[in-house]
Amino acid sequence: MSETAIEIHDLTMAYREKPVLWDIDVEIPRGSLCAVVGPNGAGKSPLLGCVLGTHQPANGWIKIFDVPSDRSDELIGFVPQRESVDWDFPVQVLDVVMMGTYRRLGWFRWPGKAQKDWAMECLSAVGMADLHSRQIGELSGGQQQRVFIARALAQDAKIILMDEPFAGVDAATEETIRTVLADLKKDDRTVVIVHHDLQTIEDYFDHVLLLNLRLVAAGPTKTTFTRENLLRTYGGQLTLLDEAAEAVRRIRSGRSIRKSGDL
Amino acid sequence: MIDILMNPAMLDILIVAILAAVTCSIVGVHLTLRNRAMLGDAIAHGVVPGLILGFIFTGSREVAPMFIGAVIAALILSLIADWLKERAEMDGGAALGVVFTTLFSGGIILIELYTREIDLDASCVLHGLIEFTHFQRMELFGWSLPRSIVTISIALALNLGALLLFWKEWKVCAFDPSLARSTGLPVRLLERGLLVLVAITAVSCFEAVGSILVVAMIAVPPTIAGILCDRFGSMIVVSALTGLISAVAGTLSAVYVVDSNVPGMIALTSGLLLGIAVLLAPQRGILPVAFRLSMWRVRVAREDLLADSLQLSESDEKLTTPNLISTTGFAWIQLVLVGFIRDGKPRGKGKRIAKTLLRKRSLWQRFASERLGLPPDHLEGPAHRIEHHLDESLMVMLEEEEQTGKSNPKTGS
Repeated sequence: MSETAIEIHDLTMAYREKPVLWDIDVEIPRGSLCAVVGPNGAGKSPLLGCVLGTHQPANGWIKIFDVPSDRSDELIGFVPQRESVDWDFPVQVLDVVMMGTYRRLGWFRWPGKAQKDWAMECLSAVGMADLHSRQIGELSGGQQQRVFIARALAQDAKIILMDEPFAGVDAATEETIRTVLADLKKDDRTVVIVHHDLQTIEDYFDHVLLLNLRLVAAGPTKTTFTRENLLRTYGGQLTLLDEAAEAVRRIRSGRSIRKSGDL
Repeated sequence: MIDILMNPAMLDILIVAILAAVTCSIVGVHLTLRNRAMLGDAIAHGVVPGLILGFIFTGSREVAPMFIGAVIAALILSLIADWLKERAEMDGGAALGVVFTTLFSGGIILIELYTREIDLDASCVLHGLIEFTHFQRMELFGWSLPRSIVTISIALALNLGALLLFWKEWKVCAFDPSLARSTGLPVRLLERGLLVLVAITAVSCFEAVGSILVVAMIAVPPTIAGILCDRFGSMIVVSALTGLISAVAGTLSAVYVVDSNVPGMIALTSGLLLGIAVLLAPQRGILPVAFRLSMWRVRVAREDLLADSLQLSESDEKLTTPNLISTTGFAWIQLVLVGFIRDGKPRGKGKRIAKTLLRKRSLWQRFASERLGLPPDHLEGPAHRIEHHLDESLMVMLEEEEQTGKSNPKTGS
């Protein structure tokens, strides 16, 4: 299997006419624990969306283990942001994990004992087997994250994307999630995580991807996570791109041509 | 009850009511889970112009053209609403509200303009013609059957079939659309399919029971099921059952008790059932929750009384009878009745409970002062509260903690 898990080439993406990602070129090596870092609105979640296939890029391509993403049958696991999940939904923990088996099951077929056993195995891998019959809303923050990681395992995903799993969790939960992440890495899985806490990057991740609409830098944390790169990510120069994007959006939507002419 | 089963006209009304309620409650679960119960409302009203146009173009009340017209109207409705939401940046609910009211009014105008001489009028759109079910018949395989029963049965069969075929796909789409999209499910197509199903359901129930019942049955039974259930499958079953109960109770009460509009009574019944569920649902109902809370308070009061009386009896004093009209008083009466307290002193099992509680209290106080390093004035109050929550396993943990704390003092504090 290839050493590169995700290869992104000249990726540009726009919400309506407003670009949120410009010309991204990056390779994420297999088995890495990679943090995606950048200010709000830097396009971190859209980048995950493009890799996942839920967002359509305007330009460029993505390869998953050397296969173009639209032809790849590699499943990519996704652990969504906590706020984006309806925790009152009538599903139990095991039901959520079983959803990971649906794709391979195909249309019109019902999950059976094999799927159930497999889902239980995946739950055990994250230490949640005891709680399999809980309604998902009854779980603590760390347990909720682990259920979705178990679902990614049930998909047999070699690549797992997570959108801010550490946001608003306590220290003990953070520790459990870290343990699970270490296990995933031991399994040779590639994990890409949107992360906000710059303090912990060096401890938690071996790769880092600095993003602010454009790719600022990417590579091993030791050489890439430097003060200079951080300044370039969060500093002033790149806001020009933001201005340009705003101008393009105004022109295309035809709202204020005069104002954009002033620029 | 017997004569309703003997009277064929009454029996037909009951059957139609049950079929319509169950069909709507099943499809309603999907909408409720997507927080789109109001889509049922919108579609039930928005299909009217499609129905009428189907009728005007063919000049007959054949089922097929009216069905097709209605389904097209439902699709147009959802497309315009989606377009308004995404392109004109309107709020989703507002977009839906604007579109369906416009379409519905258009439908009413069409009725007034073109169908005056026929028995299709605005009020029949609202509450249907369930009372005439028995007399509007059609031939099917040589049998003469009430038309509504046939159409609604078809809708129910379609609903159940689609539900079973796309069970897991619809579940994933509702719970986690991004998972559905990332695994290559055609989410948009599935959602539109669901919409068509809602439209078919609404139209088939329309003639018999009108829009009131369609709207109520799509929204209310699934909501009740949502309060009672924590799995998708059980929610479908409970929703259908609730629909069934509302239909039977509503029809019977409309005929025998208040002599009133049947669909209206069914909707009213389901509303009452919802009220009962909100109040009495075992897990989340207001009364059971309040009951459990007050039971807990009484238990705390009982344990406190026993502990107090034990402490007093050690210095040879008696616990005085508390004010009987209070939580403590109620707890006191219970303790005296079962004999845990006699003459203001704990007896038998009461004594054991009191001892355990005092042990928990002192364990926690020591834990708080030695391991958490809290000052003395922070120990009494919290220990009094937390002692009631400590179960056996926590006590064992506290004791172990104390042991390790003693063997290597001054760590961790």
